[in-house]
Amino acid sequence: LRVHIQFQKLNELQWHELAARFTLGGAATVVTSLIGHGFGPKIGGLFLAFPAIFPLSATLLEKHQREEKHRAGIASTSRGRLAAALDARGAMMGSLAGLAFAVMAWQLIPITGLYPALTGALLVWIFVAIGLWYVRKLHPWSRPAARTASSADTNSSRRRLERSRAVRILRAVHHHHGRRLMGISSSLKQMTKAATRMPKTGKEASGSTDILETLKQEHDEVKDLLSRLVKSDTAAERKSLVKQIKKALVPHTKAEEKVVYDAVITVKDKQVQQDGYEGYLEHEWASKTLQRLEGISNANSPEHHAAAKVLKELVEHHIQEEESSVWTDVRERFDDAQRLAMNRAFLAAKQRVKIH
Amino acid sequence: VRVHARDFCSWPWLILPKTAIEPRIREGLQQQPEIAGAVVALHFDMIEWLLRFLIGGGLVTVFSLFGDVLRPKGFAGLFAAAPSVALASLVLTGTYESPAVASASAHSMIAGAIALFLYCGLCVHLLAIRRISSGVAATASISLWLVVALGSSVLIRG
Repeated sequence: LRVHIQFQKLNELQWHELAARFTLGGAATVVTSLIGHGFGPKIGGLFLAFPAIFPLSATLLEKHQREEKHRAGIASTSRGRLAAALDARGAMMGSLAGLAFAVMAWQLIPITGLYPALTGALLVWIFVAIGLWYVRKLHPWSRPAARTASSADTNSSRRRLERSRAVRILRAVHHHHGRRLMGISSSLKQMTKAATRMPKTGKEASGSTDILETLKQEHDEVKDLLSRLVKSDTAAERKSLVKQIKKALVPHTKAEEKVVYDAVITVKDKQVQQDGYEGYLEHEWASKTLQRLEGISNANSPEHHAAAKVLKELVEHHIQEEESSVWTDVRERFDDAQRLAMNRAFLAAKQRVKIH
Repeated sequence: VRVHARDFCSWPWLILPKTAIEPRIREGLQQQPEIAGAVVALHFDMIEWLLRFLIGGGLVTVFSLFGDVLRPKGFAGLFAAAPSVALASLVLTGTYESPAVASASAHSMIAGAIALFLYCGLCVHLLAIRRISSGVAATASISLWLVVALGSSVLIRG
């Protein structure tokens, strides 16, 4: 994600919000000065880093998110809270940079005088804040849970994962906050609404299964079939395995393209879109190889073995990549209710796929 | 004896630094022998507070606008803790009082910033894990800020 400026966001601002910020900022400055006058700079200085603005901005943010969700027909309070938590996480880095600002101002004012010192301290704040943001971005622990899930055995790391998942979800919400709520097709949105209205009927019902759980199951199934195919050396068994693979693979890929990739491609983020298109291409290659495999009449020939091995490699590579990239996108960009709706749409789409 | 800068020079005293006003006050005091030699305390006027209000409000608004236009949104969260109030206060304190007082305030701000960092961390926990409402979480956490700020200021400044 590249840092950039979006001026059109200024149009969405409302004047009373600006007025509220202005008033609060002014009041905070006056109160800080009063404390400084009353108790001296030692106590007054503390209040230069008092969280005066944050409670207001967090409350407004939560309210906006909740209203947006409400408009989309989803009653969700936790979403707004997660968005506010994201803001607080950014503010953590901002306050560390504030520490650098304070050190610079304290040391520089006696040396360079007031204005150069404060200009310097402000520049230091900007560089440290941006630097911290990039470090956090690049650091491994900010990577999605899917890539570090193997270490999720102990209770504490599970909780850490839960936390990182929560924060990832809210990062996505935040990124898309605005009218383009989740950037998905309207049909999917309607299904989402339906899914949230639907009563929970137990873990096994399609309505309460995450799309990623279903995909994982099917991936494992195909992987198992493919490794059996590669190991097998009787023509009859190989032929039957190819048939089973086709029956498993074709509906899965078509439905996944329709429900998952198309949804991912509508997200307004180039990297996410690329993941979706990559999935399409890899499906295409797998499908071509499968056709080739079917065209080979002697199922125990070196040609058949070669095609089977290539198909296995293609599918395994694709699954591995998809489970880290596309799944991360889906986890980040779509909330639980949307993923339930995706699962229902996926199962329905699979029914409609005809195998020739 | 409290005197006011207004009594000794015309309106620009509002925006003049104290160092520029003092010679005029001294000059004026010599013409009033009955208070000459008295300890002079500059009296703050409502207009100075208005100025603090305007500059503080303006800086907070400008920083929040940065937060609005910068993308990705998580990056904008940085600006939720921008030192806008600190910058306004330090500029005004340095101008109206003295740069030494501003420097001393910045020294204490170190403790405040440590407290703010922990405050934000607590907010993340309360909001993302406990899912407490923003208003309650952000307000209740202020008690942590107070404890840490006062505690660490004792450690840092004795």
